[in-house]
Amino acid sequence: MELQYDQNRIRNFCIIAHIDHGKSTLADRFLEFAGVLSERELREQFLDQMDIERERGITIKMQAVRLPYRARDGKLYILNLIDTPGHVDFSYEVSRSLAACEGAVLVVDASQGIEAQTLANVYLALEHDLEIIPVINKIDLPNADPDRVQREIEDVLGIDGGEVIRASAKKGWGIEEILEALVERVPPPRGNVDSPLRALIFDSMFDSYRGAIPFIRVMEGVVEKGMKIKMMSSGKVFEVNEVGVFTPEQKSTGKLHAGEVGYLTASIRNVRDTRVGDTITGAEEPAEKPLPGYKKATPMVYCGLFPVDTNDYEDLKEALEKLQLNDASLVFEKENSAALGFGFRCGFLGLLHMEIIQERLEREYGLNLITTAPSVIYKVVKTDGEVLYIDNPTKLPPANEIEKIEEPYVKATIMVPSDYVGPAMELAEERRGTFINMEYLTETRVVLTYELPMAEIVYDFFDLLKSGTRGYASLDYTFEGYKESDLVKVDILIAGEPVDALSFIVHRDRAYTRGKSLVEKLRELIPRQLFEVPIQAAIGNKIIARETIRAIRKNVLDKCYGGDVTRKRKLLEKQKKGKKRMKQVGNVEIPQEAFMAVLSIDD
Amino acid sequence: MGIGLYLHIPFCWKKCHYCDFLSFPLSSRETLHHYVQYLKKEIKLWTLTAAEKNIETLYFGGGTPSLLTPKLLGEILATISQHFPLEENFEFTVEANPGTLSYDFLKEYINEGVNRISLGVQSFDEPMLKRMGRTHSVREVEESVVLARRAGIKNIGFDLIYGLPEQSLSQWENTLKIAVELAPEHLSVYGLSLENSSHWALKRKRGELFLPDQDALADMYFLSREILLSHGYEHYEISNFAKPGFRCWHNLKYWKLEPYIGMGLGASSYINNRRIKNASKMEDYTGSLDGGKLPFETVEKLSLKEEMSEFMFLGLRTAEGVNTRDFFEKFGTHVQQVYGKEVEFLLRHGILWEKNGRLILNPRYYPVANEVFLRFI
Repeated sequence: MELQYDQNRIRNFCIIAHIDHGKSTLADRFLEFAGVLSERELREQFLDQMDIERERGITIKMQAVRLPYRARDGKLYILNLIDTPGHVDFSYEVSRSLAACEGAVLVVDASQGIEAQTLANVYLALEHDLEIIPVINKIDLPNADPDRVQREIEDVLGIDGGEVIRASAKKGWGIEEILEALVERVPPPRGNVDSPLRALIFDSMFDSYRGAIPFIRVMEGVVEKGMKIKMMSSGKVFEVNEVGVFTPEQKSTGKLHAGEVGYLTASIRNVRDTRVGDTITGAEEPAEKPLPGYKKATPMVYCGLFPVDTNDYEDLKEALEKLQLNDASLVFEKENSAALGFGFRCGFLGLLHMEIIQERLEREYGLNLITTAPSVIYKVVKTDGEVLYIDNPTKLPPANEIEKIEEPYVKATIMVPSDYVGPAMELAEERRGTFINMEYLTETRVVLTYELPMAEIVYDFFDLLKSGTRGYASLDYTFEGYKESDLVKVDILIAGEPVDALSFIVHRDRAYTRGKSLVEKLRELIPRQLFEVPIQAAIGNKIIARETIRAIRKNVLDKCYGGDVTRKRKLLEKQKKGKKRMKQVGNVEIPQEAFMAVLSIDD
Repeated sequence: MGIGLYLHIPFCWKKCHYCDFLSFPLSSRETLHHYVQYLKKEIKLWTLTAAEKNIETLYFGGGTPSLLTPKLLGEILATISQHFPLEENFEFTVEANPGTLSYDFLKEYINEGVNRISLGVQSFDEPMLKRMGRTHSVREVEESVVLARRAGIKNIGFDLIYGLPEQSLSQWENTLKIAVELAPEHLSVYGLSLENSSHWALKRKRGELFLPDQDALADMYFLSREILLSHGYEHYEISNFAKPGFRCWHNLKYWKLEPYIGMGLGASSYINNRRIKNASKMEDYTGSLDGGKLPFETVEKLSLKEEMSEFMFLGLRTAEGVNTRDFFEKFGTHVQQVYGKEVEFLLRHGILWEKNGRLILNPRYYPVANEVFLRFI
């Protein structure tokens, strides 16, 4: 289907939703409705391409797709959908897609109602001046209460109830109404085709044959094959080999005009040259000013990644570099641990992001990894006035050189049914939260605002919040700033030797209980060995907790069936392989999970 | 150095609940007879290819080899002696289940040359025997010992199993005490190991079987050692005890990396640095032999590294340990050169001892020997 370029027939939009509210299913329905996928291609949730995304039912990586749609007015429109991730870790990516759109479909679950991230995303969309099309999804479910949710949307978001579309992506209800609303209500893009080129890079990917491929929204002008383009942040110039759109597969069209969404290739070797948020302009007739970009994603959580087998270091490096090509928010630098050898200190947007990267490294690159406990970035003011930002507990200077330590705080918005306000507040306070505000959105829904140390959030806060509220609570947070805190470093000694990778920074009041439960957890996780292994937690030279792993007492194959030595050897080889998955620290073999144990302890 | 010969008889009256070994309930005498004909074919084929050395030990294992009538046993032996040179006074063991033996039967066995009976006693705990699915009673064990003695067997071995479901230390102690009262020359003491698909293994998977934990197992192991040593047995291999002069020479070949040939279904051989395993499916086994071929399923030539590692971890199972001079003679390189770091570590921690050029595993570490062996893999 060849489509004539006509800016008035273009609508660029994204879908914003709280995780699990059915965004991906809705996107699939759009694709199906537009007929861009054959039955065979229409796998569940086409836009979630990675295995991990499908398995976990989350969107991590943004995707874009062009949907041709013949509206009720008989005209053919191009609807460009730019998918957004739903998890709070990736809210930064949401803002990236918003900047490339004029409209947003806001999906709210018909039984869950408005959640913390719904609010956050709506505010983001409003900041970007987007036309919002509210959709109540999953109205087919028995516990759906669209009337209540519609009132919430009116009361909380101040959106006219008459604009709300009721739908069930699963059943295919309301899909056409949404597409019609996009055509009718979302304004077409308004960029001058004759102006110098300005295209916003909203994402990029790496292809080993074609190089780094920026995904772009052309705001003004035209980009076409053969043209020389310039990255406005670096001034680097490339020649365009291919320009195209997402059908959803990349399809060359030779040209993209103002208002259109697509990709280009230009033999760009390094993905850093396609920095997300950058503006592409023409090299011969450059625009004067870049588009307003967005600030660089800042990692919130750091952890160490080490290969179990030290020989895999180079492979790990290569794998991280490759992942970074498609994930600009991943940062890493070399780290050397006394216990674990060479590895990388990596920064992530959040805990989910960290888990996903770790899982991809293991799955897609076959690496056997040790992940150390995540840490936030602490600000340390030394007695000599020097200020350090510490992303790794082992780098904390000795106590006598520290004037003060500050830790990052977030403003957390917790949305919870009124019945569960008690447990939610209890948890927030138990996690050193300072109460700021409580507001009734409706009679039954409450928004709590707390100031919380980020370190408390990155551990198990969300899990505990969910379990304490039977899954009803939702959470969103934004970084607020640094605040002084009485923090100490707890070291863990195994068989008398400090294991740097197990050190953690914690509030002094918590140090004893955390140290105690961590050594208990380590006792469970570290298998019994030939020798008795003492495990201690210490602050400086003071031991605050101790456990002992008793020596192993039985591991021998007795019987040798009719001289079948091969069977014995195989068994030993298998045991040996199991040990290889563990890290030898001194004389002690420590399994991978042990380095993450600090995450799973109870206070 | 002579060769050991193992013959596998893969039949039992009934499969025990813990058993995952190659054996089938015997449907008829015909089956056994039929099988023996194939064993004879296999023996004849071997004479063509290997074995210029004397047979030093002969071992009928199973299954229940005592299901063989003296006549069938005699047929096999005759074939062997026609095709292999037999050492004088070679060790001739038959595994037997208590309750399958009669005086006359034993007499005839002895006439065929049998000089060692290994009894599958397993336990002296009557309810436990039932639970295990054993077909014999405690009383029948005692009777079998008396009969064997009367018939003139001078070398009787017991197999005992510890770590049975819900077994307590005192229950195990009781079994050991009754065992030593019957004064067998040899005792093999095995910890229960459940593999693959035995009835008990499946039960355990379903969480319906409660086995003693590793601490209890270690206690049982050391109790066996203590009781048996105090009754004049030597602990000559991790799981084996014998009165002086009654070590099982056949089994020692396994630990010393000496050659042995296994015949019969699924039997294992080690000869010319090769580990060979026979077909474990009856139709494959008989099929090969019908085609005039030895029924090998796998033939694995050990690499130098594998051979060295086996020499170490098998040798360390025995009280004699690894003779470092033998190692040098066999491989032309010193143990220290290959396993210097490991050996130094183990010596330093008192896990290995060095005595007259031998490396010996400290018996304290017998029940965790795998942890030591792993260092040589």
